[in-house]
Parts: sequence; C-alpha cells; structure tokens
Amino acid sequence: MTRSPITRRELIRNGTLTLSLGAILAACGAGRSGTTAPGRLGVAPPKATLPDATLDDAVRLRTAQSLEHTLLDMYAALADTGAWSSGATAWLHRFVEDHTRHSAELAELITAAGGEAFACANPFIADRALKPALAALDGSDDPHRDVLNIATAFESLAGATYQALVGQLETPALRGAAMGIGGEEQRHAAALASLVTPEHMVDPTLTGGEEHADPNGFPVRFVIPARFGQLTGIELVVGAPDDEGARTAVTLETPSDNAFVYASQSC
Amino acid sequence: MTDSAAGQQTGPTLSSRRALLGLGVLGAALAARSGIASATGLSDDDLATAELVVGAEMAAAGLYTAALEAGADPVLFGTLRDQHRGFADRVSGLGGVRARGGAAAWADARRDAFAADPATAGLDLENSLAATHAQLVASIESPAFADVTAAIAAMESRHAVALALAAGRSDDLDAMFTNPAAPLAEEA
Repeated sequence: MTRSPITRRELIRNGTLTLSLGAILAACGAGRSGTTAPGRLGVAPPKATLPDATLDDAVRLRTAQSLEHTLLDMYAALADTGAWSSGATAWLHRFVEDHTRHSAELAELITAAGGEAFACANPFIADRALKPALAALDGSDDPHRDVLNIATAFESLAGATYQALVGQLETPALRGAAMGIGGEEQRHAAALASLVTPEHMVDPTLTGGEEHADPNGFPVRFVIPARFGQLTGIELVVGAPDDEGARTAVTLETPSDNAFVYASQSC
Repeated sequence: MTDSAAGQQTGPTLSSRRALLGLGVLGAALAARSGIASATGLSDDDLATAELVVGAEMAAAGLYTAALEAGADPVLFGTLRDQHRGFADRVSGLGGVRARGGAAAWADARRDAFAADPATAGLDLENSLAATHAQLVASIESPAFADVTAAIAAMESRHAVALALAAGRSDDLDAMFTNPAAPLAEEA
C-alpha cells in the first residue's frame, strides 16, 4: 500500500491558507481606478493619432490641383536651366498659362465640392519623382534632351491622371470638366513628344512596324503612342550615366492612396 | 394504368412551363419599363450613347479613308483611320451595338474638305470628337464604358496635335493646345 504525498489535513490547511490570502489581496485591490491598458516600459512618447482620411471628390480634385502646381514648379525649374530651346519658349509660356488656369478652374470645383483649394505642389510626387529628376540635371550630358524628357513625362502623367479621374469621381458632372482639362494636358504631352522624337510622329508598332528603341535606353515618346489613352506607369530616364552606366530612372504613376491630398493636409 | 400514370407526369411539366413563360414575359416587361441593364451590361441610355459613338467613329474612319484615296500621307492618315476603327470596335464590343445612321450627315458635310485639306479637316474633326467624348463621360452610367470613352477622348486630343503639326501650324498655339469645337450632338 502506497502513502499519498499530501494528507487530508495538509490539504485542508493549505486550501484555507490560499483562500485567506486571496481574500486579503482582493480587498486591497478594491476601488482601483485608472487605465486598464497594458503597462508600458520606458518613457517613449505616446503614439500619434492619424487624422481621418476620407477619400471624396474634393480630395480627388485637390490632388489634381496639386499636380498642376507640381508642373508649374517643374517648368520654373526647367526654365532656370537655360536648356529649354528658344524655338519652344512660346510653348513653355503657354503651358504655364494653361496650368495656372487649370488650377484656378479646379479651385472653383473644389470649393463647390465642399473642399478647400490646395494651391501648391503634390508633396508625395514632388519628393519622390520631381526632385530626383531635377537633381539628375546636375552634370547632365545633354540638358536639352533631359528637360524635354522631364516635361513630356510629367505632362503625360497629368493627362493620365485626368483620364483616371473619370473612373474615380463620384459626381458625373465633374468627369466632363476633368476630361476638358485632361485633353489639354494630352496636347502638351503630344507636342513635347514631337520635339523628343521628331523623326516619328506615330509609334511604328501601330502600323505593324518594329519597335523604335533608343540606343541609350531612353524611353521613346510619340505624338500618337498607342490606340487608347494609357494609365500605365510612365518611365522617365534623366541625366548622365554613373560609373556603372546607369542613369537616374523614375516611374511616374497616377496618384493613388499615398499621393492623394486629403482634407487634413495644407500647403 | 399506364395512361393514367403518364397523365399524372404531364400535368406538373405543363404547369412549370407555363410558370416559366409567365416569369419570362414579366421579366421582359419589367426590363423594358425600367430601362435596367441589358444583357451587355449597359443601360438603355448607355446603349443609345454607344450607338452614337460607334457611328461617329466609323464615320471618322470613312473620312480618313477618303483622305487616303485623295493622296494623303499613308502613315499618319492610315493610322488615324485605324485608330477610329479601333475605337468603334471597342465600344461595339462593349455594348454589342452597331452604328446608328445619324452620324452620316455631319460626315458628308466634311467629305470634300477631307479630300482638299485633310490635315485641317482632320484637326477640326478630332476637336469635335474629343469635345463630344468629354461631354459624354458626364452622362455615361457604366464605369467600363466611361473609362473607354475617356481613353478615346485622351487619344483624340493627341490626334489633334498630330494634325496641327501636319498642317504646319506648330506656331499657332490655339490650334495646337485649345479645343474650340462643340460636341457633335450639338453641331448636328
């Protein structure tokens, strides 16, 4: 016969002791107040509360207006390089006039949509696309080529942005206004493409020809580049090659979540 | 016994057929009354718009064919003809529609101009088409159809620049960068 390691008396005594201690602890904890959140170690600052980010027509139009100002900043910078050809100076002045007018038209639409105008460059696109492209102009092996490529790419981006807006705007009447502006951006991009690739107005692949590739790897621009207006990423290559032969490359995308100018953002 | 059994089986079949027919007629009547989306996914209003667009694009392709026959640059004007055929095909495929006859009047009015000065006549046409499509996107209900129409309008704006350049008007900033045209529906 084996003997149990705990006797009945020991079990009763230990149980009574545990219950007594539990009652004392419960009594000490009564009436506590304060946060019930888990405790934190250290003195880290509290987490920032993100503002509400409602996506509506006013935000979409603010984003479009910010793109107009991104292009205005771009033209100011390109004009300062002195690499813009004198023959195309009248075009440059016209583009600046058009983008200034577009911004004013958008401001009215934004106000009517219950928003506040955003008359400055798109922070996301300016930081991630325009600034790197402009920085690559320093030490460029062909500044004239680069200013034309930058302007063509950003005008194409603007045209694609308004085309994309047609599928995004909730108010149907705004779609017509968007395409009216977008059509002018497409005209700018097409005219600039005729300077980038003067020997071909039409992409040869549209007529069954072979793809026209640039020997230095620059994307080729055409006045008529495709059957339909495109919403795909726009490749931009700028500047002189580095030691390994690579040039600065940026892909321009139509504005999405991170590039929208939400109501909480201000210039 | 056999006849009776057959009769018992026939009864429910006939009644189901009648019920199906009745439902079909009711559904057709409701669809006709409410103008809800057709089998193509487009509403009646969108289908009417699609017919208008297909007709206009086919008419435009016909005008460029006339220009080519009159000796216009085959690369540029052949491309423009094919572009408009492509637009018509895309919208036709989207809505399952054919061209409506109404586009012929304005096209006929431009035919002589296309033979005489295709670049200038083409510039005028592309401006009209771009204005038409920019206006239509505000009323089209189907998101897919609106997206296609916007993609067409974007390219027609580029066509206009190509034709302004072909007409030697690169210094005419309004010809290059402004669309002064009224939509075709208003013009007709």
